Amino acid sequence: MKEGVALLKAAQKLDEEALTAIFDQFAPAIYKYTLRLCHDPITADNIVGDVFAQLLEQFGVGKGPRTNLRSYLYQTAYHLVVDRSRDSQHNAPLEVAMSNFAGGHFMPTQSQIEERVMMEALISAMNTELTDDQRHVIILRFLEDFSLKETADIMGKEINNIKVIQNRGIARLRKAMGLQLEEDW
Amino acid sequence: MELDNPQDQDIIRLLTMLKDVRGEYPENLFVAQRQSYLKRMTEIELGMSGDRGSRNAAKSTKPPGESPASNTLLETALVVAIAAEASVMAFFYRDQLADFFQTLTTGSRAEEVTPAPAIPTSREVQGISPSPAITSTAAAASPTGMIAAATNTPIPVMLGNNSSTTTPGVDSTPVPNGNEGNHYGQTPKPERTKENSGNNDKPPKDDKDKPPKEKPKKTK
Repeated sequence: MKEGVALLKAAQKLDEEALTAIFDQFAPAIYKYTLRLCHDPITADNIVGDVFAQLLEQFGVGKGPRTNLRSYLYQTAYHLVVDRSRDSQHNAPLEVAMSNFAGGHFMPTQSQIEERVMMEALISAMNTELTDDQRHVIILRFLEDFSLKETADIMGKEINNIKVIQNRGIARLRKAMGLQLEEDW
Repeated sequence: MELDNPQDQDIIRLLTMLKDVRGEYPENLFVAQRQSYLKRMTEIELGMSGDRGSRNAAKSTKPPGESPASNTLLETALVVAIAAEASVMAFFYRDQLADFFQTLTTGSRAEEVTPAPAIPTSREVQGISPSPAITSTAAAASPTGMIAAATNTPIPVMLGNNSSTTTPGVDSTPVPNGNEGNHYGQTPKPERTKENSGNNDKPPKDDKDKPPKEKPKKTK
């Protein structure tokens, strides 16, 4: 299977194998990222379809990404999520991810229970305490492992701006987590 | 990460754990989306191949099996054939062509000759012979020279030097009675034939209707 630049170049020539490989490689990741942002599996699925449809259209007219395909796909998904959130103002909590996390049938240990409580508190804080930009930056930086520059490219902001947003988001999470944990105990 | 606070490290560790949370693409959604993607991909590929096909069709209008050498040979043969046909036609219609060219050349000669005799006539009519400078211009017989001779004020010299260039049958103004200077008052006055009593004319002014010019003196 082709990888990296070779895959991208083959896709630009509308090579069927390369285009299929791109979908298989990136569609699950884009779905996961979109689900974290919009919290709705159907919306996330629709956004995945739109992202790859746009990619095909761009390749069809001789445009599209030249270097970083992953950043390009996340950037397209980010813009689609932002557009949809403006339209619907849908802001459901991250129960989907949490239910998946808690889906296993096993007897949790004490540490696992504590960890789960912490995770619930974190997800709740991400949904309620953070602004949209802070949530996007934290997801891209710590859940999707993008660098500062890639995150800045995806969100269309300066790197320094991303640093500031990230630090403020972490500070808010820390504060919210401390308060929530105090309430729990 | 540039995070100084140790509590931030705990947050980041939790976030990293959240990364491992399963949020996988449901199988049914993934398969449906993949099929839709492949269908769209086929449509775009077909569109592209259609464009390529039309471009190739436009390029391949030449008949097959034709080389550049044969093209050159064919062009040369065509040029030779056209030249031969033109020469044959010229031979058959040589009389007409000769008449045509003769007409063209004689027509141009007539244009050259025509303005020449008009110049001395205008001089004689005025009864004035042009100055030597103007005479030389007239001899050149160019249209500009004629215009210059007509517009320039001739130097008054008595007639008789250029009598050989006179042309009979041209009306001339009468000789000015031996007085070549001031002719003021020699123009005959026209006789009035109509009375000035038409409807369109204004009625004659009557002095009676006019107000008195002098202001009446005020009496105290």
